Amino acid sequence: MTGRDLAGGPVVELRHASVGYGDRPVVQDVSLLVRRGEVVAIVGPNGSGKTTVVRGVLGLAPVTAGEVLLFDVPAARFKERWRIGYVPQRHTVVGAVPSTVEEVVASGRLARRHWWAPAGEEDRRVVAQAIDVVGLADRHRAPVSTLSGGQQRRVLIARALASEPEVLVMDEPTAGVDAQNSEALTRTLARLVDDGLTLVVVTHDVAPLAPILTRVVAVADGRVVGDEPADVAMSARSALGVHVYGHPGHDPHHSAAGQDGGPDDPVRSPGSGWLGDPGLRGSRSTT
Amino acid sequence: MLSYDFMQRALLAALLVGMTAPVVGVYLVQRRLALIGDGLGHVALTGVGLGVLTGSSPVLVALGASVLGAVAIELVRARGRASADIALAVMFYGGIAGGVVLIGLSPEGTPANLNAYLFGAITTTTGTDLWVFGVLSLVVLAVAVGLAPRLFAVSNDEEYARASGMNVLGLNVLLAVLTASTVVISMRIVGLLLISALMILPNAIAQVTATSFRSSVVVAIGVGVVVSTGGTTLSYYADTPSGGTIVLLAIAVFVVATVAAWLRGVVHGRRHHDEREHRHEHGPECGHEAVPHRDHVDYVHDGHRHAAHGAHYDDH
Repeated sequence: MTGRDLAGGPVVELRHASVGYGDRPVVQDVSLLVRRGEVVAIVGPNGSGKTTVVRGVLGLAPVTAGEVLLFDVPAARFKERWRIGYVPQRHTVVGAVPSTVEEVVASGRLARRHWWAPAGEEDRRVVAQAIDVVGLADRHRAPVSTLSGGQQRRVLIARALASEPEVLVMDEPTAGVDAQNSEALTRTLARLVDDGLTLVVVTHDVAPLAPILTRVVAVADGRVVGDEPADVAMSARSALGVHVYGHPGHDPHHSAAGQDGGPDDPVRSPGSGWLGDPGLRGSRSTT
Repeated sequence: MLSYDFMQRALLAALLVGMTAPVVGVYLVQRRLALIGDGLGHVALTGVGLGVLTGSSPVLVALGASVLGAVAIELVRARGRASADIALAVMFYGGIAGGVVLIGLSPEGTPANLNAYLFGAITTTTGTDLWVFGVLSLVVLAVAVGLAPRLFAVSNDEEYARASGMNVLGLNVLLAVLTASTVVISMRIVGLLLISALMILPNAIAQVTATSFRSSVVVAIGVGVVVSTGGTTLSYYADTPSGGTIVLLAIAVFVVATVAAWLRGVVHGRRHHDEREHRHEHGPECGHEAVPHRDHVDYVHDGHRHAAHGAHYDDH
């Protein structure tokens, strides 16, 4: 596999793209180029449109103006969907009918298979490997309803990995996950990035991902308002905090003013920094 | 009993229904669309009415009507407007109303005839019907089993299926057509008003014990075959409408299975999750809902509440 130092080819590109529903664009005139090997965090308060940006990329929300390119191909004509792994923001993966970890993860492999083709040996091997990578090998036959929230999140990551993607698009992978599990997740992602995976992560909190991030893109009010290398973004020099929240840089002492972001708001400790400041996140939902 | 031709046909038809209905129904249950089968039964009644009135095969005309209805329902649902709910309701009312009026207009339209279509009757399955049911069952089973991974994926997480490039609308329409075909297979024995019961109840029963999707479907097929042939036999001896008998039998099995599972839980008691089964330590952010309970916190886990007690969790 190619390492991250061989970064280069375009993976995901938006050119003056507007994404929205009906006549209401949620994000406007977004231009963004993610290259192979990059680890990009898309940050911003709730309601900023950061989730809508990736929904536009994935074809889950209509692109009303501009262009989205996947691996240099216009998104509408892009057929090799398995090259993009998607980890939605979900707290659970439990359907109404019981299903095992293996069954859910295997559904991620279908993008690689023809309609009527049964699963082959290679398919089963990759599915088992994806489950192993997220540390659930000993639970592969377990019904997903018996797993904890953090484990279910890992099932969704394994499902995305089962198509052997070149880029992983994750929506809030650390929301509601405790510090210990966040670190474990970051270690897993670091290994995948070392193997050449490109990462695009929508998050309101870059701190857990800091060790692997290469770039931070800030979105506010439906526009890209900042785009900095990770080391700059996480230093006191960063302009992102000003753009997004009206005050500069990382401020671990900024207190949470007792506000609540709504029912989906993850439980967080107060004052975890500007990108995770619960007091400054909006009340609109991004989904 | 088996010396009667009509009974042989009824039991064969029951066997086909018992096998196919749960295989299609599992996806409706998974998507929480259990009532769509009901709606398609309503729409099929208009087809039956048309068939009775024109003297052509009610089964084949019902097949056409319910397949058309199924496609229309999926297209309406795909638009995702708030008005979709009303549009579906109108179709369902229209289906029943049209059927009742058309059957009433036809010279053969007796109340007994209508009852047989609505609630099932063992004496009505003809040899031609059996051939139609047999071919339909084969096709439905082949598609439902052959495309099981995709139908599972789209029922389990439609948005993910779309993001990974699957033809979600196509699969949804396909599932609706499978449902419509199952409605027609069931119409002689189970009846159009009770059809969805046989798609849903065997799956509900299977879920009591199953731990995987695959085992759930296998158990549901077994339950489906047993209650549909058992109910048909009972209706012969008790002289009751077969559809109602089958559904009551299925409900009885459901109640027994649920109570048995509950009793087993009580007997195996208060520490079913010891540290071997329960690798996960509950905490404020484990994802399980936390419920304050007197001096401690319970965590909602798989439908019951866990409270830490030494190395294991008690159920509260």
